[in-house]
Amino acid sequence: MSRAAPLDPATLTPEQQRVAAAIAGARKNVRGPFTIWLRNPALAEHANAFGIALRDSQVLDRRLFELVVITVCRAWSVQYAWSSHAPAAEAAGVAPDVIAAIRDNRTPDFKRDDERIVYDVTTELMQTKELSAATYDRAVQQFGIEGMVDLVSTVGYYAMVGIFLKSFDVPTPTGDRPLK
Amino acid sequence: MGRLDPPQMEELTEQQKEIYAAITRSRPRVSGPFGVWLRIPRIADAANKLVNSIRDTGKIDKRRYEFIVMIVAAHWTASYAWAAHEQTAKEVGIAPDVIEAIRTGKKPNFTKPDEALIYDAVTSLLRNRKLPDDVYEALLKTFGLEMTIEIVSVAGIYSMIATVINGFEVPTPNGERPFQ
Repeated sequence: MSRAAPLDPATLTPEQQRVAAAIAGARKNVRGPFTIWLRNPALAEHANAFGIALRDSQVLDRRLFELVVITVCRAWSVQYAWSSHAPAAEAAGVAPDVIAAIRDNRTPDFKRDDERIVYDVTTELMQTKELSAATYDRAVQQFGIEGMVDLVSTVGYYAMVGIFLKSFDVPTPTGDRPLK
Repeated sequence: MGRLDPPQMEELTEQQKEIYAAITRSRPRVSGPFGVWLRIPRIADAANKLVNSIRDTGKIDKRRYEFIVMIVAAHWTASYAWAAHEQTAKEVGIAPDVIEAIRTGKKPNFTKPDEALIYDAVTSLLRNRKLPDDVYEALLKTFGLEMTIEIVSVAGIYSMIATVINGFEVPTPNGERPFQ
């Protein structure tokens, strides 16, 4: 059980109903952090919209986006977000052995340079709280400045989501703990 | 010098100018992480609305808000965020010795119980990447669920901002180096 129970759909205010519909329209349903954020509809609305704006990156494809997400989830041991994004990463083309390595805290054996760069940027920012000039330069060469803005912002956004999910100890749908 | 030059008005597209105007409705200038985000109007707009959703329309009072910002900026050694908020933190009533302890990574001697509790919660979330049951229960009892949501959301949003500051080595306004 999450520390904060989801709101009963029958009790939502009109504002909460409007935001819930917008979230469900973009994400298929209102789950995970959004069930809790919905208690503050302004926060829920704009947290959702920011996440969607990042997901719609014109530079990072869905494969790289989901790779960022699962790498941040691992760094923060965010069970819920891992459970929803690891299948999305695989569906978007991240190799299963890469996903398994990230899950087990091993450095993946990347076959693609763009994935290695995304992984290095994400882990450096989350583990060392900085980004080396060498990694920054490699990433800008690969993705351009705009892609880099998307990439770093996505790392930050999922750190925010992770902090929020950890605060409320939001469990996976089945209650398992894929991240040891 | 940061990794990106600050935006120059004469180089902005019409869409960027619109976002620039929107951001400066609630801020004196487009600087720091917003200078980075302005390169991608879609992201800048979403980020501005997310931050404003809690900064301007949240129920959290300014002292607690700025207090969390101080803890988060120091944790991530996000110098820009520290430099941009330190004076405000003093003005809204956070004791100078508390601010100084946070800056130097020491546990402050709190005279306000709410600050001690928020410090324990945010520090645990950032350093240990989890929130112990007893601290969560204390938050809930002291502040209620809605304010707890705001408290951890501020910690998350400023962690996201800190990630962007660190990724692009956003320079401080006057060359301050608060963590050296």
